[in-house]
Amino acid sequence: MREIIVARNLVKIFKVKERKGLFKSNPKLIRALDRVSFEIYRGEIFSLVGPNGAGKTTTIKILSTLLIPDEGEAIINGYDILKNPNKVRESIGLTLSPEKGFYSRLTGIENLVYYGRLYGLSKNEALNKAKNLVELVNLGKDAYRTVDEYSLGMKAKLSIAKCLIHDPPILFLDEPTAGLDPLSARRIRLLISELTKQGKTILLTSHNMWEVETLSSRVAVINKGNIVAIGSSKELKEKLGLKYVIEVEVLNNEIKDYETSLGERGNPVIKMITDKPNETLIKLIEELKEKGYNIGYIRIIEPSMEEVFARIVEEK
Amino acid sequence: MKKYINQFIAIFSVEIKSLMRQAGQFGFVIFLPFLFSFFTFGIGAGISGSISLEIWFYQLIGFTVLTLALIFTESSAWYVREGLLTGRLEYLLASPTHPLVVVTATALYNAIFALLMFFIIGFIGTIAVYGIAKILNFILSIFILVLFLLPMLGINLIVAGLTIIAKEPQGIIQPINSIISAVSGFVYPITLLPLFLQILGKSLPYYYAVENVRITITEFVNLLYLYPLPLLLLYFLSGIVIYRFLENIFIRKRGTYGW
Repeated sequence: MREIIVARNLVKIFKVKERKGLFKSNPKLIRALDRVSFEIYRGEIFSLVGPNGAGKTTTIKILSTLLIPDEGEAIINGYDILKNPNKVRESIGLTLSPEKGFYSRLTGIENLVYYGRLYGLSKNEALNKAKNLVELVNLGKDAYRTVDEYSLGMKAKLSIAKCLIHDPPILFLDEPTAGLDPLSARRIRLLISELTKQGKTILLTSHNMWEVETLSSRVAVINKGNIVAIGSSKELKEKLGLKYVIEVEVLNNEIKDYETSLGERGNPVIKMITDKPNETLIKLIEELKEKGYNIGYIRIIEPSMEEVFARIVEEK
Repeated sequence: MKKYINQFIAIFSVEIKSLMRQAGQFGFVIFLPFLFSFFTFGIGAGISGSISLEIWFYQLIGFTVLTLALIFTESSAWYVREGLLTGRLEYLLASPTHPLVVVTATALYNAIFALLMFFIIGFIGTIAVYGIAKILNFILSIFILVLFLLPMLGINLIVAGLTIIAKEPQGIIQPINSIISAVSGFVYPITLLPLFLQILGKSLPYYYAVENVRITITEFVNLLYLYPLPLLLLYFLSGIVIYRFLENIFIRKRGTYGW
């Protein structure tokens, strides 16, 4: 079977209280998930993006058996989350918040051994696995320091190691680079890419759209508990009809037939907006060659995932 | 089975390691019963003019079991609260760890903490007042105390379950601990209390725990005083059922702790 994660019509309603004064409160229902459905294929990085409170973490919590859905079903690695929760738990590695989940007075290695043993590993198995993982995530000797001395970046690395301790086929990474400096975030992204090469399936949530676009093979946009768009970043851009900008610098000072603006190097630059960048560019270059113009630089500016995200969320 | 043993050792050993790295807390808990017993003994001796070490010992055992009872009432509530604040509880619930393994491992850790405390204080007190003559009685009293830790564990789990609803343990722990301290006869005879408070005290396991420990050290094991134990074990059973129910409803179904 190609799908390793299947979510069908997941519904989650939370009861909250709206406080009115000291004693009064009105009960209120919040539909956090409203018939959320998607499939994730074996070995892919699938990103779930959406504004705060859209339902990303609720989805992850349901898929990891932490929350029970009010309606719908989900199958993880062939196991139903309600009928075989323990099999589901064994199949996934979870990172909900990179800085949380550790005993601060224990060392990184001791924390990893603890989690390994929760998944049924013996002390030696867990210790050997933990030693390999601290090398993989580049924690080195810091793994033997207590966690209360760790920076956020070190905790994020430890968090990734934690979810790999029982070698699960699926990883749920909820904002794994949130709050990290650019270098630490880059290291975590490299690690995530490396993990998919090892055959892991990853469900990622992030507010960093560049990160989502770089890492994921497919993206689902969730808003107010609904999946409002799903596909590869290219598919989403095409679906929304987002335009590419083509810039061609011409080295001749006088240029006819084209609208130009002054470029960075003082030469005229032709700018064209198109939804078919390759065809438009080839056509333009051929025309310029025929007319005897010399070409400087060529640049294609892609619409960003941020634009995709903004367009989808604002439209809905 | 091997899996459950590994899970049990995982939880038990990290709690013990964490405790060992904050030994000051343990030292403080050992010191408290001595402080309070000397204080009340001093006042009593000052007022009555007579000095009886047996009275001090009565107070010492009372304050020791009181401290132990308070710790044993609130430990799981703090475990839940700490787990929620640090995110550890979510990861524990997302792992294939059996809930009974968690309860057993944390209970054993708490029991060892409590019994170690009781052993150190009780040993010093027994030697100081009775010499080595009552050491066997003292050791037997530890076994008696272990029996009463089970119903105490039940109340401990109910308090932990209520903490899941209330989110903050203090609002649950403080009234319960005040009631337990007042009606269980730790430092004064329960007969001094009005009848309804005596009934309340006798419906909880703490009164029987402290009375049986005192009787066992000063006299010997008296099975007649152990009669309520089978009934008190209902606290243990209902504690497990109530905690599991509240955890399932409030954490997994209602998502009380964030979504």
